[in-house]
Amino acid sequence: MAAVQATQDSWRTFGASVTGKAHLDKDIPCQDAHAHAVVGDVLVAIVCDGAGSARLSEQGAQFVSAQTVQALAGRLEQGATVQDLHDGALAGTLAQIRAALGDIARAANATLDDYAATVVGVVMGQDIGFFFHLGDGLGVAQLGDGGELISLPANGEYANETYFISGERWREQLRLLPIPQSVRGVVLMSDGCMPFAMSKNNAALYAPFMDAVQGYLRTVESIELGNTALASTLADPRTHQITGDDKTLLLALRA
Amino acid sequence: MIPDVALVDNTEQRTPLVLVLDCSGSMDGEPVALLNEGLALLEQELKSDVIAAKRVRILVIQYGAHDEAVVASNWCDAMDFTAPRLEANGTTPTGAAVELALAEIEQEKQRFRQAGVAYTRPWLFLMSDGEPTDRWQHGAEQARAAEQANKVAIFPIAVGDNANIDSLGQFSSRGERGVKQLKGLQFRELFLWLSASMQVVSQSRPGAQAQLASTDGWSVVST
Repeated sequence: MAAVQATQDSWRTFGASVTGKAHLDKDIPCQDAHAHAVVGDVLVAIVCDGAGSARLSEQGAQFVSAQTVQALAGRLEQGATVQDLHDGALAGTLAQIRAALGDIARAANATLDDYAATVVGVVMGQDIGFFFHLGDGLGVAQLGDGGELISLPANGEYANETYFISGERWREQLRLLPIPQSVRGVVLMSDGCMPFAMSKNNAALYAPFMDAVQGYLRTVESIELGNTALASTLADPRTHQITGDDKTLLLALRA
Repeated sequence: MIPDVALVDNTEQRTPLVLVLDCSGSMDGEPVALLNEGLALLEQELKSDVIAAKRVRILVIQYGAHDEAVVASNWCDAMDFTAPRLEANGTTPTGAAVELALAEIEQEKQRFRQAGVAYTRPWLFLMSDGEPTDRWQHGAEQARAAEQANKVAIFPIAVGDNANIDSLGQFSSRGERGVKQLKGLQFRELFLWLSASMQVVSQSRPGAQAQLASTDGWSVVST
């Protein structure tokens, strides 16, 4: 996890990426990655899921998540507003990171597709923010008024196909979803968590899972303890009956 | 570990499988008996896999009689599937059978979309032991177009020495290369492979290419 700047009091952010059963069985590394930073009052967080079919996708997910958070935090530190990021700086940042990934690929005699990864991220200020999303995974803003705003996965027609930042048409596939009011919390997840963290058809967070998780994290003594407990929960053998995929959950709670 | 966390599967995802089976007179006797055994095995295997039983959705179409293609077993989840007992007689209306299958697939997708259910690419198994007897070219053209548009994956299977590989190939966007020749009457091996493949596809996640077993167990290796 890249904590670019020490998390300030405005947010408590927890995250865990856990290797799926199918990857454990085949000795494949976890291809999910996550990162976050807080600049002033603004949270920047991201979850990336490396494609199972791409041979270096765990590196792609790690690079894209860490670099995106670092670059966006840098822009905020230089005075950019949430609106600035929404209105073009985000897309420009992703373009730079994609180009840097292309350089890494060339140096390694590989192709950009070898690093294929999805992106679901959020930039959230006091009372305005937005999700940015490429491919699957899912983001939920728990709004101040009690509702939920959900950035849904985009899979094309079929559930087992999706889009990646490495794709040529990534700009068309990049989706931004404004969050127009203050939030109590933001949740990002890779598709491995969706079956048990979301209710049917991804209509809402699944309360029997999420209430217990957030209830625990709101009172846990330290971020480290919370992260450890979250990782153990995601590694619970009961999840193996549900998915063989890697599982990443990132929760940012308003303090 | 966080206490009192519910961990249940809320996924609504389906993997449609359509079997289009030749029940013309030439299949009578041992071939159709072995085909029926294969279907029963498919039922048993899919039901024994917790995830596949929930996600694989099956439709069986038989064709024969007087150039008739009919639904022998309507769409159902594998957990509710009961293998039909097929009987063989009549002609080989391959074109009509495939047109019916493609129409059924589009209707089923429509229902998935209305219900917000995610799905994987439908598989269409087209099995024949003979020569089409209807005006099949239109159905073949539709099949190729549907496959090229990524609407469906089509697997033509030739049974016995009298199957017309050339016409079966015209139902595949890969032509004759797309046709598998069944070894003898090894329906058992074919349906075991199909069941194993469905288990893999129904659990596949985005970006992960489904790793399917080789078809050597039931298909004649082309040289």
